[in-house]
Amino acid sequence: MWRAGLLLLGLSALGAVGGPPPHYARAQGLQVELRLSAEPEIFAALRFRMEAGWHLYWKNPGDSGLPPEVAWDLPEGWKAGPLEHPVPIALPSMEGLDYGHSGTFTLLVKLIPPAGKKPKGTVRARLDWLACKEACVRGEALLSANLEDERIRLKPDELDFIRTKFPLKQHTGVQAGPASILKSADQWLIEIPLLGRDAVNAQAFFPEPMPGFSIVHRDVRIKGGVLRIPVLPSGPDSKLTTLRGVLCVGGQGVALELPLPGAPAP
Amino acid sequence: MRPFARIVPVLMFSALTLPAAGPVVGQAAPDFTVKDTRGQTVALAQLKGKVVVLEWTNPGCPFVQRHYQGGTIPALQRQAQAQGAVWITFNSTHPGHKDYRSAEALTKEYGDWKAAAAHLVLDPEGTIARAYEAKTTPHLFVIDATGKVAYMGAVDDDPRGNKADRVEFVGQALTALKAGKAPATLQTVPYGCSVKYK
Repeated sequence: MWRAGLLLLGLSALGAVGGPPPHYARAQGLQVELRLSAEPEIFAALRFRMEAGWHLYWKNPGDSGLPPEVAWDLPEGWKAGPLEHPVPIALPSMEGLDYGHSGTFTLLVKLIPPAGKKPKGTVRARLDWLACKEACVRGEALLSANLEDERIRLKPDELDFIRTKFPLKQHTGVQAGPASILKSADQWLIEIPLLGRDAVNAQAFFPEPMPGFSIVHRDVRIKGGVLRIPVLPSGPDSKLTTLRGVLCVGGQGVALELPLPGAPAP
Repeated sequence: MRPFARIVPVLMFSALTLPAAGPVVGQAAPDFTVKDTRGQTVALAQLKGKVVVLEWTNPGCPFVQRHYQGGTIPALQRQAQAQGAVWITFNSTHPGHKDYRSAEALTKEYGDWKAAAAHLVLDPEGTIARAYEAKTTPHLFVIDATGKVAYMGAVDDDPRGNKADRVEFVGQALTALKAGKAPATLQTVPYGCSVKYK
């Protein structure tokens, strides 16, 4: 997968004189850079700047596409959390619906140092992505940054700004009522009533992938205060467990995590 | 007011008849009659008695390139051929798209990739793709000998092409049908580039 022939400028820049810095890469349709925040919480920020018309994909790409993926090479004892995405945008196409990011956006990963250790050493990120405009291209890059390098430091106010683009963990004005599942022979419909004073402002829902099911993305709807998500089971043994996604309420994304009927009690 | 994460749903199930558009596993595959790039007529109805595999493709798509250059789809095509199944490859890229290829160019490109499909079909209006709701390239449909959809979705569970032990959904479906069984996996989420519809 990690094919040397596809490495981009970031890799070639390692040690190169006059080349791009090792925390930066440029590829067809985009530029990307790696920056690191300081203690107490250390985050790796992957800032993408997409050229006009180009997009990358959210953690659920929708009907087509592929989300970006990162493999970390960290100092000994360090761990990386999951790749967190900002609130996506809908990318409708002629016959489908994708979810992604365009313009300038940042993906965040929490880095966890070993207990009692000061941040020291080099963080390396091997990224691969699918970038699309009219057509799609695969891209890969190796970025690196030193934890003590002030030049790549992500300042607290920059981190705060990045976080404003991420889903809220909760929204006091909207709550999810009891979920129900309506089954036909070939399609299941998840229905969730949205309650609370801001429920009328719920505009869209971006579902995360549901293992064992295909989501009929173009038919995900919020109507009459009810969120409806049609899904197709992969086989007779498919079981719904948890619904995760981002609900857009009045222009703000809210993370939704909800056990579904048939799931083990929490 | 409780936040989302703290709400526990009431267990509810009920039966409902939902309208289904496009192909449905276990139901008759949408019929079509087309000419392939050699001018040969291909009619799905006349292929009853044989397993049929429909593959949506676009040689400009990096996922398709990986599967052909890596030999995974040609290997499946040879498996289908050995089992007496008929593999039909559709390119529904519209003529205005940069990925569009003429029949001649497409034939040469897939020949260079050692493709072993029985038929290569241009569907520039996307008529058949729309009937099957083809979403990605590749996107595959396996039709059993009675003309019913037996499997639809991804070729495997390895969108990045880096799994050592990937599940070959189409290969498994072909093997199951040869043994007179239903595939263990009936449908999956296809992955790849979007079909470049007109």
